[in-house]
Amino acid sequence: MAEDKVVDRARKLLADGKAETAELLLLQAGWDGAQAAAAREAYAELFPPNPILKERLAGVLAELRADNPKTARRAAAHIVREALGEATPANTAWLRSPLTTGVLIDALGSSDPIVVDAALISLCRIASVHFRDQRAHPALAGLLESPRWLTRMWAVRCVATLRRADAFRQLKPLLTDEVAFVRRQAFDWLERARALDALSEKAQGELEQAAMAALEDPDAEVKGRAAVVLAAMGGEEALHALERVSDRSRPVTTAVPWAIQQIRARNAG
Amino acid sequence: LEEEQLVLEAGWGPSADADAREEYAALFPPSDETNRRIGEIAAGLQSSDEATRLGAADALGKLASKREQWLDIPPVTGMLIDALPGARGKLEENLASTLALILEHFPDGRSHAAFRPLLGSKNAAVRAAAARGVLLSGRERAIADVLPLLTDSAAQVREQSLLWILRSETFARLTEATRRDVQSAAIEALGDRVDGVKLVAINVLREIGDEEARAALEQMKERKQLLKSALAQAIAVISQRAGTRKSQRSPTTAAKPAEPAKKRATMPSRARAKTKKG
Repeated sequence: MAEDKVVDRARKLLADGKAETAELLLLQAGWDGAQAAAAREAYAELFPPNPILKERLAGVLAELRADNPKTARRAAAHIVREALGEATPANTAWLRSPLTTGVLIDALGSSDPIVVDAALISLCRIASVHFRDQRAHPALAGLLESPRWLTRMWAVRCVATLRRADAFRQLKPLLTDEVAFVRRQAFDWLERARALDALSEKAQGELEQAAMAALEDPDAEVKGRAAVVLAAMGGEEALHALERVSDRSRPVTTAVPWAIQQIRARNAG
Repeated sequence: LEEEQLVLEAGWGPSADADAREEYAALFPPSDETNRRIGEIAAGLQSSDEATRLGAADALGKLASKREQWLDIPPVTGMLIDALPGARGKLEENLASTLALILEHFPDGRSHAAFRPLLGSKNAAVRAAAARGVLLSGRERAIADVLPLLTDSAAQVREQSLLWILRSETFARLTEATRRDVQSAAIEALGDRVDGVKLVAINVLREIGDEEARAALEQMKERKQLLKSALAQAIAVISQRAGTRKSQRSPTTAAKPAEPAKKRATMPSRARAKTKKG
């Protein structure tokens, strides 16, 4: 939809009393897909900061940038708790805002790794529940190479949630990360992206190859998650690879027979 | 919360990651209400009055039995781990069983060191809880620690030890040497006078048994239906597993139908000797 049409449609929705739909349309057009300037301007005009957002901007979101590490971490914990909680009108009022995500994106450059992780966790959740703010992407791409494994893990989730066309290329190296927790999350979230049709055919083929290789991973959980990926997209080659798995660990004995069954059922159908 | 669980697993699971612990403390601190409850219980457990200590342990045990999820966090398991070394008698028994119960949902690796000395307790209930606790701690050596208890004088300890070996995370990734040790102990337990112990031993062998285990199972004469059906199932599973392995080893035999289990069963000398003794 062209920029001006988006804005016109949002204004009409608002006039019809469909404020939430209008807001989401402008957020999508302004910060996710086209990142249209007109949509951003219209959003600023039609949805000025509400009292809850103003209070948070002056409170926890300002404290996130505090020089005192204790204050910044306390604010980070508060934001994480609200972001991960069930979406309510009260927390949506401030979490669903480019002003909030703007502060969180700035926090991705914090010198405190825990503040960075908190920002990643919160941005990931906001992208899943409210809207995807693609302005985060350049900083996220850098954090995928962080020396801190926790940061890499949260960044994997966040990049996958943004559903960008280049996500697989960026996340592929993390499928063989040195830390099993990171590899597990990389398979998990790429599988989620695949289920949402956010992976190209080429990327899906590469993911299948990576999953087959991961059936020999030393970590049973990684093997199990690779089997889940193959259950959804594996062909004959994947079926043979799964049939050769001899690991009796619980995650493997649960996922592998199920994956075999899924592929066979697909082949039979 | 998935995010909180990830950090808990990394910080208190086998990897015991220090960064994850710091992140948990900073980003997922207990609520004020949880802190208040923990404070109350901790004060009771540290009281100089024995009855108060016992009352606090009882109250905590009841909460754990009701599966109160707020208990599955490091401050609670830490409080129990700290209280265990000074506890005696009924208090020790209550604390040990409560901690073991919580570990089913939050396998805090620190508990391994707290429970290990209790494997030699004079109190059978404490030994049973310690076996369960050591096995739920997720430490690699947990099964080796508990194996000696499979010949304990108390049936409760033998049964619980074998049962929690079967249910433990480490059971799923036994080294060949440990598998053999567990199999030997389970074969020995097939001759136990208590049906509960025998039943768990059969189930253990069903999961990890080889030809030697199958031969021992085939020697068992059981009249009780529950044991008979468990035996038949175990023998079938082991036979199927052996068949699968053979076909994997030799592609030429893969297409052939599996031979009936009885025809292929040969009794290794080690199993024969044990059966004669038993």
